[in-house]
Amino acid sequence: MPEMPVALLRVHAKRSFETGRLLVAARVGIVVVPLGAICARETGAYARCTVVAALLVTMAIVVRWRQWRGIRAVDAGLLTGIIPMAAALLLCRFATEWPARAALGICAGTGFVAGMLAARSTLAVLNAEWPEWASASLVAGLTAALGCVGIGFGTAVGAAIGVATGTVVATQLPRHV
Amino acid sequence: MVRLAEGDRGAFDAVFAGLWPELLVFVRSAMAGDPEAEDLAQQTLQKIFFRISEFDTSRDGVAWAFGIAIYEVRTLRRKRQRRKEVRADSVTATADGRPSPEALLIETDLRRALTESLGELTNIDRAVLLPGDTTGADVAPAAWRKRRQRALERLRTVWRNRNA
Repeated sequence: MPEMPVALLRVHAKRSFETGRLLVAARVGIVVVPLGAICARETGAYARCTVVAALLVTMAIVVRWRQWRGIRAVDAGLLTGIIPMAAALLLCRFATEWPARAALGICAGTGFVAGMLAARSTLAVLNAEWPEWASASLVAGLTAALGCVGIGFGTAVGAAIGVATGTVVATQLPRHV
Repeated sequence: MVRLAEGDRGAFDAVFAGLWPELLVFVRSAMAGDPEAEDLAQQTLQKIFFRISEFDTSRDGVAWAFGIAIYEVRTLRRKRQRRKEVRADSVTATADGRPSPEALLIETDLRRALTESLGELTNIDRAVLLPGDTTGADVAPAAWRKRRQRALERLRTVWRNRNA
């Protein structure tokens, strides 16, 4: 490697930083793709799950790559979003018949809890501002929708609204109890 | 470094400006007189920035970065060592069978390093290791071998610390 001026070295170093960060960001696919596959298999809604999983992977990679503290925000969103997703998958697995309103209620309710947890965890741990908790809740909403979209589009929307509401409520609470 | 590791691009210039001169000095001192020192420092800097997103922010950033630099210096030395093992005959000997200037220079360097390392040992250790030693005459062969082995171990440690 020939010697290079400092300005050029800075450009190369910046490129290395961006490449490394993108690779680290892309690792989230190791978690999200299997999650999408599990949801598609359990609910049988392959097309819808693929669309939501693709959205979730893209969103997670972009946030982890470009946003300050994005990696922690996405991790918090995924961890909390798994709650409504798991509830929806349990419904699909064990409930042979389930009233649509009950399914919507469960998905929205667990989504609300997930949204609160996502916002609180990012706010508490990171002392974060709105971009962090907004990203965390968006990822949590998409993760929730990934599980609920198999039941129905409305249920997925309900879960996402639940997450958003939970996030808004959590951000209005005092930060340190 | 913590901010950059968390993805704050605004910290890039500060980290670059703080890290590059120190890294260059460190690599140059670790590879004194080596013309490839600056190239290696540049490669190391790029590796540090490539891996900075994996850096555990609870640890010391400078120690982490210089840990990578030490690894790179050692890797280059190992590569060169292997190259020398393969090409030792062809490089160090001239057509008339006499050692080449490069081989003579290497030998001089090695002798100097050995003398300095021996200088750090105790008189007893040095006496056991150097030729013409008569201290072994009054001890049992097994005890003398053990004493020599220990002295060799100490010499290796000194050598590694001085020249590794």
